Amino acid sequence: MPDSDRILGIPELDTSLATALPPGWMAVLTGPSGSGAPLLAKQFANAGVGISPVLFYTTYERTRDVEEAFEDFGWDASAIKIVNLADEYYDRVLVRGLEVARAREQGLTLEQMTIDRPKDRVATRYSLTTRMLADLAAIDTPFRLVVDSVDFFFEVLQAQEVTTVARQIRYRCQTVGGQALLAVHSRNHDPAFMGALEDLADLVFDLRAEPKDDRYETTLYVEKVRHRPDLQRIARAQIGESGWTLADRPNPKR
Amino acid sequence: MEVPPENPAAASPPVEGGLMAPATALERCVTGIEGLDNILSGGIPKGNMVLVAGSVGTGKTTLCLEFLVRGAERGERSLFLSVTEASDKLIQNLSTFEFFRADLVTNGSLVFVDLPVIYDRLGLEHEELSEDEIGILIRTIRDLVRQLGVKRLVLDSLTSVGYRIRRDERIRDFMLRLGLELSDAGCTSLLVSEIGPVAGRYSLHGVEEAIVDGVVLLWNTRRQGDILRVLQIIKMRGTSHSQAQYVIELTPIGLLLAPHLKGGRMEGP
Repeated sequence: MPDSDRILGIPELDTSLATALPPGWMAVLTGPSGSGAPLLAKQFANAGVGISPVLFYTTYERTRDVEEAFEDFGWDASAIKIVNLADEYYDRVLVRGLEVARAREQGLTLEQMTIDRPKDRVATRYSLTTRMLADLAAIDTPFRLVVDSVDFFFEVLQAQEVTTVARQIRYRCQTVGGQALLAVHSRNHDPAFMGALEDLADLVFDLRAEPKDDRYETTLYVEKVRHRPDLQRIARAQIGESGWTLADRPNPKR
Repeated sequence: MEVPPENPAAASPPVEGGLMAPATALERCVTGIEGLDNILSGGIPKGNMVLVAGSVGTGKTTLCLEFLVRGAERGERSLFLSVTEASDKLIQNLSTFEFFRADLVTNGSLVFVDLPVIYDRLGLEHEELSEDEIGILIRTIRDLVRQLGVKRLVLDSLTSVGYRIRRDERIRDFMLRLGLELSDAGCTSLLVSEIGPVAGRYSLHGVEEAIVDGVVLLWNTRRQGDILRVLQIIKMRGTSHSQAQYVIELTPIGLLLAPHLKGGRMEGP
């Protein structure tokens, strides 16, 4: 087993991957809807509890749903910081969009122009990127970070900006010895971006669920381990009481 | 203090039928600044849009504020649209003048609105406003003027708005449309223009002075070690006016004008 500050959270994988996820590394997990990638992301977050501060950015689940998923597997959600970016974005950007549309359509009253003046609004205009990077910049010790999922960033940012965010996260990991896992669910993103993201990543996993007979069988593909192509693996995965486990010990390709 | 026009023969003739021409040349918006009303033959023609141009510290904002206070005292609802300075601070500064009455603000006769708040509410966030956004801004000001029955309006400053309307044709369009809306509402307006010491130019884009009905120019000059503030009416459609230069003094009771005597060494605007 690697040192506790390196573990990914899947015991069989941690044992077989000699490097696991060293401080300073960033992993990318791809897995479409139904593959179980969100659970693996949470499992990775849980593995950091008690070792370093854990930040979990969710972009499509309610905070309560994340907490319940943790509780289902006996993990302590209170030990991690859950940030609901989708809720924040809705409150700060989408609601404002509705207010602006209504003001433009219906006009403004004098009261709206003079009461509750949002004097500081311009200064605090919401930026998804700034919001996240400010959190990271405030941490000067090793940390563990999960973004589930990066797809949301594609909805609100240009592809180039998403790459910049990923690059900043990686840089921060390298600077203070952090570990990050970025989950990507959709397979429809620009291949050039996905290529850039996978180039930045030190580890790349892919989780796929495929029908077999009357059920789905899930396979974990370890597609990239930086400097250790010999550690690439393909292994069947299943969900147990403690989250994802690998049904077989991963078999080396060579 | 009464100051008769120094050179009536130099007064520009009324322009008839122009886009910004007032409904009738006889209707006046009495500014309430006595010396200014005298050299304008009784006041600004009602509905005129006037550029108040000058560099920093020449008294533009004070002149405009007194114009509004005097109007509010006469029962004409007055609106100050502030871009660069927060209304709270403006009112605080204004309260040092004896001519200011706080009750005019509390009873709604004198209204202050910060344009950045309007920008924010309407989502006008881009550095350069699009044509649509310019239209939205004009409609919002028009609706506010109609809603409140505003008869006097000051925009301080047009220059700040102009920085966000970067193309000459758009600033021209903005001013033409705003001018028509205000004139239709019987609202006389002063637009503050911040200018540097460039002779013969009164605005940021250089097209503003051609569109407005009037230009009041303010500048500082030195004479025998003193700095004098000087005012001159460059143009005013719909009325005869003096084109002479007047020294102005910002006193607690308001602006005082006196003929600018040409003795000593002076510097122009």
